[in-house]
Amino acid sequence: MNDNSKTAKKLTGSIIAVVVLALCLCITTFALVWATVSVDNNLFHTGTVKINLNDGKPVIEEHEFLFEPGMTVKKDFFIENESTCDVYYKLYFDNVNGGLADVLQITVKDGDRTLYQGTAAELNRTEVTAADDVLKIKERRELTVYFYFPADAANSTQNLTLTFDLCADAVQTKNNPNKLFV
Amino acid sequence: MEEGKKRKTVKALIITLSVLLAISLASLVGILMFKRFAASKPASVTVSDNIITHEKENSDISSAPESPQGVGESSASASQAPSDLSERGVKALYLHSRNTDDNTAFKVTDMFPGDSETKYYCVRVSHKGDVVLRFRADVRPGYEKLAEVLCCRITLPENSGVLYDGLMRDMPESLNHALNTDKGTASEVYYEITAYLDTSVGNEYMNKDLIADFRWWVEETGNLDSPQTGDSFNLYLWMCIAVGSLFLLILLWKKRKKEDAANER
Repeated sequence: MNDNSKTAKKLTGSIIAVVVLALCLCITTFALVWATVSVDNNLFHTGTVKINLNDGKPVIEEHEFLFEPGMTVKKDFFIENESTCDVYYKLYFDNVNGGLADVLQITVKDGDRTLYQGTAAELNRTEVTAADDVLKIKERRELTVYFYFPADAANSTQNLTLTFDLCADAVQTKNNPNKLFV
Repeated sequence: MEEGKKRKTVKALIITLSVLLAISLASLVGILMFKRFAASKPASVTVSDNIITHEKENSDISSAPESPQGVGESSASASQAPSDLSERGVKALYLHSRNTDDNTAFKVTDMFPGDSETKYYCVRVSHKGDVVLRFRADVRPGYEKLAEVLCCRITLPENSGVLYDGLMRDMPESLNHALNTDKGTASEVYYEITAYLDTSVGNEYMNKDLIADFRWWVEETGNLDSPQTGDSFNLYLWMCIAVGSLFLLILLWKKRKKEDAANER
C-alpha cells in the first residue's frame, strides 16, 4: 500500500509536470507561429539652440559714465554659441527707457566690421535683422559696442538717462535659408 | 511473481517517460532561449553607423534600395545579417537585409525643425495563403512631449504606396499590407520609414527624446509556412512526444488505480 501511494504520488507529479510542459509548449508554439518581428529602441533626439551673451552681465553699469556731447564710450562683450548646431544671431535692445533712447548713437562692431548702428529705440527686436555671418558651434566672438553722444545735441538732452537690456536671438542655420527667427 | 513483473514494467515506463519529459523540457527551454536571443538581435545588429550629427545635412533619402534578390537564393547581403540566418530556421516572418543599412534602428540626434531621416526595412514572410502583414510604431511611455510633433511617413517603395503620413503617436493600430497567394511562397515587403520634424516646431521641443519600437506581425497564422532549411529541428515532433507522454501517463495512472481498487477488494 505504501509503495502504491508513492507510485501514485510520483505519477501525479509527473502528470502535473507533463500538463505544465504541454501548456508551456502550447504558449511557445503560439508565440512562434504568431510570427512577430520588431526593431526596438529607435531613438530620436532633438537639438538645442542656446546662446551665451556676456554671461548675462550688463555691458554698461548704472552711473558708470556721465555722458557729455561728443563723448564716446566703448564697451566690450562677447557672444558664444552653446547650441548643438551653427546659428544665425541678431542683437537688439529691449526694455529701452529714458530720454537718451533717441539721442545716443549706438554701434555694435565685430572687429572692424559694423554689425548694427542706430539709436537704442531703433535697434529693437522687430527692426534688426540677423547678423551677416554664422556663429559656429562653440564659437565665441568678442564684440564691441560704442555709445556716442552727438556733439550737436541740444541742451534739451541734458540730465537724461537711458536704460536697456541688450539681447540676442539665435536660430539654427539648418533648413533655414531665409534666416527666419520664428 | 507476476506482480513484481508488472511493477518492473511500470517502473521502466516511468523512467522512460521521465527521460522524455526531461528532453521535452530541455527543448522547451532551448526554444525559449533561442527566441529570446533571436528576437533581440534585429534591434542591435549594426546601429553604430546611423548617427546623425550636426555636420550631416538632410538625410539621404535618395539612396534607393538595390534591386530585389531572388527569394530563396543565398545572397551576400543575407549572409551579412546573422540574426536573419538564425531566425530563418523556425520563423515564417523575419527581417531580411538587402543592403547593409537595412533593418537597423534609428538613432537620430540633434534633430532640428525641417530635418528628416529615412531608413529601410525588409520583411520576408513565408506563407501558403493570403495573409496581411501589419506594422505599427509604438512610442514608449515617457516620451509624450516629442511625440506631439515627431512625424513619420511609411511607404512601400516597390508598391508605390504611402501607408501613413502623420504624427507617429497617431498611427493607427496597424498599417496593413495584403499578401495574396494560393501556393507556398516567400514574399518580401520593403518598408521606407521617414521620421521628420516640421519647420514650424517651436523651442519647447528642444533637447527632447523619443524612443519607439517598430513591429511587424501576421495574424493569419494558419497561412504561415515555415521556410524549409537544413535545420531538422521539428517543434511538432516534440509536441507529439509531450502529448503522447501525457496520454501514456494518464492510461498508466488509471490502470494503476484499477489495480489498487481490485487489490483492496
